[in-house]
Amino acid sequence: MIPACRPCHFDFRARVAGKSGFCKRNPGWFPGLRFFSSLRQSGVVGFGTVFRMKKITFLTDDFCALFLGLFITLLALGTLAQPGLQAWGWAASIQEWVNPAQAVKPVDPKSTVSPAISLAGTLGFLLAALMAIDLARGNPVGKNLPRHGLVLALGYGCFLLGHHGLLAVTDTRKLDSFGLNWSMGLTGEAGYLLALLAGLILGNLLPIWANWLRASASTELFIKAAIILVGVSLASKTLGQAGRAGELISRGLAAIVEAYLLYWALVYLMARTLFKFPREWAAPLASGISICGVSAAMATGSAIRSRPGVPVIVSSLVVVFSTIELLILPRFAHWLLPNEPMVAAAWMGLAVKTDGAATAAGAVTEALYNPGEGSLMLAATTLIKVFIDLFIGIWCFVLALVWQTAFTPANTTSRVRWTELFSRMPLFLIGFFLAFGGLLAAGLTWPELAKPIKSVEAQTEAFRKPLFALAFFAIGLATDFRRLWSPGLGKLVLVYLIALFGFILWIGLAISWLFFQGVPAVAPGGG
Amino acid sequence: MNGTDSTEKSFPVPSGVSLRDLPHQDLLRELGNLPHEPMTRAEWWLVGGSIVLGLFLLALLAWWVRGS
Repeated sequence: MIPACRPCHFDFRARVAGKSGFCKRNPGWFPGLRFFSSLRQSGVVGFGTVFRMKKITFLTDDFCALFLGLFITLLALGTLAQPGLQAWGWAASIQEWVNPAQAVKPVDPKSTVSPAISLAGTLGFLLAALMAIDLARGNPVGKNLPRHGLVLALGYGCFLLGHHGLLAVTDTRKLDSFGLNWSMGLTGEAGYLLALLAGLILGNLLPIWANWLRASASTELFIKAAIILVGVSLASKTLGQAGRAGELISRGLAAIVEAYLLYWALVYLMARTLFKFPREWAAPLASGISICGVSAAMATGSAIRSRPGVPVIVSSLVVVFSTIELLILPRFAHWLLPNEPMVAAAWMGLAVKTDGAATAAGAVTEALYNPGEGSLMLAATTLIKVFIDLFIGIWCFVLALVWQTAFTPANTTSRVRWTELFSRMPLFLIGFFLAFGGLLAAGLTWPELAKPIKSVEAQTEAFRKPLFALAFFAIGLATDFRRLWSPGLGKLVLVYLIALFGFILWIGLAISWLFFQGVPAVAPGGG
Repeated sequence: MNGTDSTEKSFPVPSGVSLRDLPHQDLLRELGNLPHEPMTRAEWWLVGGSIVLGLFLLALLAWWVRGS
């Protein structure tokens, strides 16, 4: 008798499609790999099946985001070798518009490509990337094509619409030239909010459509690829602002200390003593609330050998709360700290959990302050989040050691492996630090590269911003507010609320104030 | 944990799956009646040590940043 798959509790006999080994419910998900290995050894399935599953399991959204982000960056780097050469010069750069014909122009002002072709080419590239990922994973490319197309159309469409003059224009002279009397003044990043709202409306009011679209709306893929491109932008901006990189990095180090040593300990203590959660629940909950939402909760669950459902339930709660924070916190920060943009940006990196929502909150906060060219606000939020992610592997290794030493029966044979230090580290961080570190080092070593690096930034921006918009759309689509009312979740929700409003927000604000009070978003003479 | 190697690879959260679809209703019901486990000495050391170390390192970083 074939047992049920232990990692996911699904009954494999009901779900395995032939000998492919695909989980019918979630085609990109391969639970129970060792289960299949044992089936192979017993001759039930062939070696090719197991090999194919191992290979496709490697192509996670994290890995694909790394590949996509680095691919875009590497092609853009051609400018450094040959000034004037812009591999992505044809890509679409969205402008503020009233007349739709003004909305799109190529990144390279000297490009002869028409705006329509530029836009079609940019969307075509993104669609091709999604199809290539499907092909590599063995997913049905033709079947997913309309879904990918609709997600791209909706996300990019919201991004385009967000640049309309009534939403985006901040400059009074531009208002006059557009013939407008008033604008919301949100800059082009109003497109992100529109994408988020569109996703929320679809996700909560049109569940059938939302369920169909969600398979193509991968927040992780979009946001992590975008974060790698933020590394390019961060390098370009800090090159012209000596010392800013050091400020940001020191704040990133402080964020690691806060999140792992203070927040985690306090949330764990509260969950264990006040709410009487057992260790199996308290540890993933502490990680999800204090470190980084989904990734940290999952990694912690694995490290302490909890039942798989525990971190999944915690993660779903964190996703919903992160979206609520994204909607409320940037405006609250702007109201509370009208003259401290960098404090607000750093605060978002600590207060908002999940990579997607935190980076999104940083972008919205930057739009609200509108500090101008060369702003480091989004870079600050992203860098803080990235630094926190960097240590997930180390923290989970520590937890695994503690759990094995203190809480695991002595006769248990499983051991903590040192490779777990690295296996849990999100791959996209490699791309971010390569992009950021490589360009920064190049710019500092050869100062004449400063201008070509700005051109690299402009090219990658043509994809960074739409990827953000797509991530916002995916976040909205994935957020089901009804989950908060699921029976049994009340205690978890209460822990989250008390932890967040009781100390996480205020400790984060205090330490952001300590490090960034008085620091301008754009250094005088910089940008 | 069989078949688990790393974070999302261990048991990735499937996008688009509502909590109601997941076979974890038993876990959700368990939330209303959790087994009690008193904090052990190891846990007190973990929590207390983290907080003390965290405050010390933060003070050090703040002094380094603001002092320089």
